[in-house]
Amino acid sequence: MIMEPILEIRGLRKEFKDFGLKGIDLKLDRGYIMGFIGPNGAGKSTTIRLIMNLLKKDGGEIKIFGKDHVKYEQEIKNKIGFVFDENHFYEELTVSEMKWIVAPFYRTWDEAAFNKYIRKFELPLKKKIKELSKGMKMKFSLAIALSHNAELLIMDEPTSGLDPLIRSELLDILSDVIQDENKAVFFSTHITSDLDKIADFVTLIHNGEIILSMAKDDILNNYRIVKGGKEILNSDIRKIFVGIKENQFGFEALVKDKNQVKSRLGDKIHIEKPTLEDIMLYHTRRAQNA
Amino acid sequence: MLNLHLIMKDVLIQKKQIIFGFFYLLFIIFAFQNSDVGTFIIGITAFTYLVVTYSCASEEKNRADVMLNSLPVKRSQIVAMKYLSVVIFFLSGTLAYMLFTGLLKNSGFNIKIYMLTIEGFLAGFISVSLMTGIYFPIYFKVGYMKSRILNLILFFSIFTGVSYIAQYIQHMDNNALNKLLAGILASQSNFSIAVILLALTVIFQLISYGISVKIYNNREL
Repeated sequence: MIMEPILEIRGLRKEFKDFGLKGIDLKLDRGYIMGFIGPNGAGKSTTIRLIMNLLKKDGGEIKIFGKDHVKYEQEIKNKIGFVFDENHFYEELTVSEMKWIVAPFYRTWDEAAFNKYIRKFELPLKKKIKELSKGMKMKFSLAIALSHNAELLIMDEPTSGLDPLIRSELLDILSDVIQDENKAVFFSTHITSDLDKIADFVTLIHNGEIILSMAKDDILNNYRIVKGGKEILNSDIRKIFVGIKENQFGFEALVKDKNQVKSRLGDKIHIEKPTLEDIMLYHTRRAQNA
Repeated sequence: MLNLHLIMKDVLIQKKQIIFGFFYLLFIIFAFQNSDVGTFIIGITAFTYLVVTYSCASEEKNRADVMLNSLPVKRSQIVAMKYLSVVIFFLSGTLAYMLFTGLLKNSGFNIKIYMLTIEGFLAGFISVSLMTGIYFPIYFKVGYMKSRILNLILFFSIFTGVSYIAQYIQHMDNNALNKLLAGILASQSNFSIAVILLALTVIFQLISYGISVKIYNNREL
């Protein structure tokens, strides 16, 4: 049986005064983690808020579990775990009071799972949320998100502002979640090293457009950084570059297809593997220059 | 299905404000002891104003709309719970008022006390309903911060307005309008007048709720 994508976006548009999503598409299947990267203001949070129907779309289609995200909103949200970049819980309440308010909303709330995460994350039930550190608040969000048998985790910059230790802990937990092949994780970040560790797919957004969306391994296998002298540059060669940095000694550029550049330039150039950071920077810089 | 946990949330996030509100009520019983039915109207309106605005302020401070609307709950239910929480606050304030005035009456304090009557209860309910019924659609449209000043004006005009009218009706003179009014009122039993007023207030609340839902459904979070 062919499974429907757990999340599918087609032609999604949203207009603001000074910014807009220009008809974006993306697709995430069950069993995978997709990292959603892009510079600040690229449209990551807007996309996530549209998926959650916090913002109203101007056009396009969002399907979650194969169903329209507005028509089946309640049913869908029952199976979504969400973690936002900032705390949106009532700071005046204690951890257990907040849980007590949220839990009854979910048909499939699993108290045993919640208690397991409370112990694992060493969350103090009697403490007020405002007394928790940023890392603890995120862990609390995560404990709620993981305690109602959610199939899709949607996270908006969950790692921002966290120290490296907690970040790495979070990434381990996400890897754990995805052991269940029925589940998927969609998370935005501007820290590309988060993706190096756990993402199966990478989607890059810039100025409200999806610049690339593909398997991380395909990206890392095909993209290359090339370095060489300026004498080999001409307009034909420049066309195969995603982006280029030039200085008086030579150039450094990013290409999408290592084989193409090898056949064209052979041993005149030096070739290196890029990081996801390089790929994001070259892509967004090119768009800025365009 | 209504989610009563959302109302309990309003109680939980402002335990302190509710207790402070009770003391405030006690203060008003002393400060406005010559206002007759106005004592209760002012007291209950001020009490409800205090807790309702605090709860709205807290939603905004915590940006709780984002969290609430990410849960499997309809926006209309979030709105409904706000309206229902007013009823809870109104009733708890009323009980506190009755308790305080009952205790004070038997305490031997030299103070003039207005003991709550059905008319007073109804007038208080109308006052509180008018205030929140006008306020909520504005709150759901623009949020707490932007509606603050308007809310304050609303609060003062309603509690002075309603208590003035209530006192006026109680001490009516004999001009033509009053005779007419009195005639209409006299032709009805007190019970049916109360029912009519209550029904009008409920209809007003339902209209206000409908507007709030429409506004909140289209709100971008």
